[in-house]
Amino acid sequence: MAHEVLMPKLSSTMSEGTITVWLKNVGEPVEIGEAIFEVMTDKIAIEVEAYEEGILLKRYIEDGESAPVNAVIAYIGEAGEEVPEDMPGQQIAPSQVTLTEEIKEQSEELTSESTVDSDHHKNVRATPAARRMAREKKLDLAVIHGTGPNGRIQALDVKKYQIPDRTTMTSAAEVTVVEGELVPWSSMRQIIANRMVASKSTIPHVTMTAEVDMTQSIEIRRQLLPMIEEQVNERLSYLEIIARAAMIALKTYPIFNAHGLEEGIQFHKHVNLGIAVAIEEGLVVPVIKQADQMGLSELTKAVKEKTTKARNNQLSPSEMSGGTFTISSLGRSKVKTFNPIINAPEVAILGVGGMYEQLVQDATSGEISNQFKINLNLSFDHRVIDGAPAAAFLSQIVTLLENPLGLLL
Amino acid sequence: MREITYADAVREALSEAMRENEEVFMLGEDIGVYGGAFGVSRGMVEEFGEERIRSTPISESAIAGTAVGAAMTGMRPIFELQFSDFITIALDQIVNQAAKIRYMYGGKAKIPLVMRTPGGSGTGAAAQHSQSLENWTAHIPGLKVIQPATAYDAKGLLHAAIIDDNPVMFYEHKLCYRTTSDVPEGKYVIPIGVADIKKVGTDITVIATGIMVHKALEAAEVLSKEDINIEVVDPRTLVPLDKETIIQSVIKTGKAVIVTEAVKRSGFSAELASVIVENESFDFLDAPLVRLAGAEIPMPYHPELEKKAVPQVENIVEACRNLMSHN
Repeated sequence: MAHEVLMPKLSSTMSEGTITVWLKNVGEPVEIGEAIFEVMTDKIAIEVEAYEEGILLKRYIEDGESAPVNAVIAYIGEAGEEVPEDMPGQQIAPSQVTLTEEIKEQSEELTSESTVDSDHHKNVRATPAARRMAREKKLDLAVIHGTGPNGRIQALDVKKYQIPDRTTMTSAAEVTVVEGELVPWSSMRQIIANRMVASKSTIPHVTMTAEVDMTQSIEIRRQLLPMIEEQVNERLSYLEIIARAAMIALKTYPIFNAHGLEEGIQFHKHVNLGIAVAIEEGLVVPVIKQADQMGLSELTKAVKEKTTKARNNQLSPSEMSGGTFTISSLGRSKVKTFNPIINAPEVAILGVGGMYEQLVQDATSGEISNQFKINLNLSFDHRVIDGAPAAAFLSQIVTLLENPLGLLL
Repeated sequence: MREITYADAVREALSEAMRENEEVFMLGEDIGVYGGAFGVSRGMVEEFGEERIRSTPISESAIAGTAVGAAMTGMRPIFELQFSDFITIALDQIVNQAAKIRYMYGGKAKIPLVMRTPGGSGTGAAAQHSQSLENWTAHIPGLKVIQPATAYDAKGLLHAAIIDDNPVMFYEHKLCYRTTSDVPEGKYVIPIGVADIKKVGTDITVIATGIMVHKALEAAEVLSKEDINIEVVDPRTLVPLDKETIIQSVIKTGKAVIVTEAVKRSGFSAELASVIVENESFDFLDAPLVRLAGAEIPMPYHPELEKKAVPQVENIVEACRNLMSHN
């Protein structure tokens, strides 16, 4: 018996899909797992794989044409098998009916909640294209920020408002996964999303990773910890030690303490250090002004103060602006390396991975010892900085952490 | 394929049509031995004789009236006005007679005439020889209006105009006469009412008529270096107008710039704009329409002022840049 190929449902808001390209012609054999067509949803293009093997017997829609979700768009079966000449009426399996209903309810709930009264809606300045798009996506224009003249909302603003999700579809089974609650973008998530997309899509990021032997830094922290605690009543952590090393290296390589602007590269005399802090709602980056002027105890006090304020949502806007260089630490996790995204318009960000143990054999004595290591990940704007200076800058930080007496100078 | 000038392409269409059909003849001021004001009919009197290439007195009303009468009796006259500005004198024959006779006679009389005339500015010919008045005839029911921009279009559309059984206004642009393009030998017909996408693009639809097609294509070159990819749509015929091509292009790009040489106020650019907003393309517009058109002044004589009075390449470039920077 011939098997139906259905238009998959790739996201909760998808009602219709457009075939961008068929990858198989009628009469061609198809294997399970082989991509047979590419479908465009309102967000992304995805290759859809076959979950039956056989011959592609019939295609009901062609490249560029659309069909509703769950419509039969093709048949796979044995050569010569009979299939309907015309596209069968939209067929929905019972389990999928429930699913569709569920989603409908959810989306209705969502719409009723987010729709502001219609008068308000009318007063929003938006182009016809933006209005059409918002209608199709069931979005309220009032929540979208317009970037056109006088704040006019344009199609691009609506497009950007829904950041493409990372859902990818690899097999038919995943298409029918029951979707859970749909949570609208919070304003903070929206801002983070927009900034990340803007940074990652406009700045050519290069990330370098260097491993640091933390033996000496651990020792110096052990010695300094009680002194600093007595002085400022805060516990010194590795973050401050790494930050101090970065401050010293930035003095040698001032290009990393700059802003990449349209008009040129804006150098800064002092380092305003941003510390990325994860909070419940998302991520904030409090800024420690003139951090390059601070010794380890002062830095410890400042970092603790800002991170505490961040977690309690007590940061004022001025405390989150004016950063010139950012450190993002996953120091308490099992993550060894990652690619941090630059906090634009800054030109570099230092990502700190979690500490881990490694057995090391000494090259001369052959002795095996256990070392504590961390990885530093430096992402930099390749428009502003080339690889060699980035490597030198990162190397200096590593050297300072491996010989931490330099931090005290 | 060989490349020939717009003027030669027009002459080729005229000669081919006259060889093919004895009912086709031409009349106009100085079109015989002199070869016409812009040399379009040069050499034709030698081949076809003074009966078929008729030089007339300086009386546009008489020329047009003769053409209308000849068309009623079964001839296929082509008359030339030396400058399209002189249509004012012939308008009664064109508007009150040619445009209406087929309708008023219940279809029993046809008016298969073609009026050819050079329009537009750019030659320093001052206020009475430089206007773009094509919109005047586009407003009259019963007249077809053609405005070809390239030699290829001129030849194919002129053939279509000559075999059409209705009065057709055929506006040539003075500055187009010396432009060249690939033109096939022998008769070919471009259907009246089909627009041509002169350059495919994705970012902005630029709808340009007549000489403005060339300026839009030059602007496209400049803009492509700034990663702005415009689509240039040439309606080619104003009546009937190929609305569908315009609508689909705007649906694709979401932005529209309309460029005509004729004065902006009540000009054909307004007709093009309304086509876009009256149809489904409205819902795809992502910025207000932009109309670039002639200044509301009589055409100046001084060449620099004359340039300022009509859209230039840099105006199109700037308009497109502005549209893109709003994104």
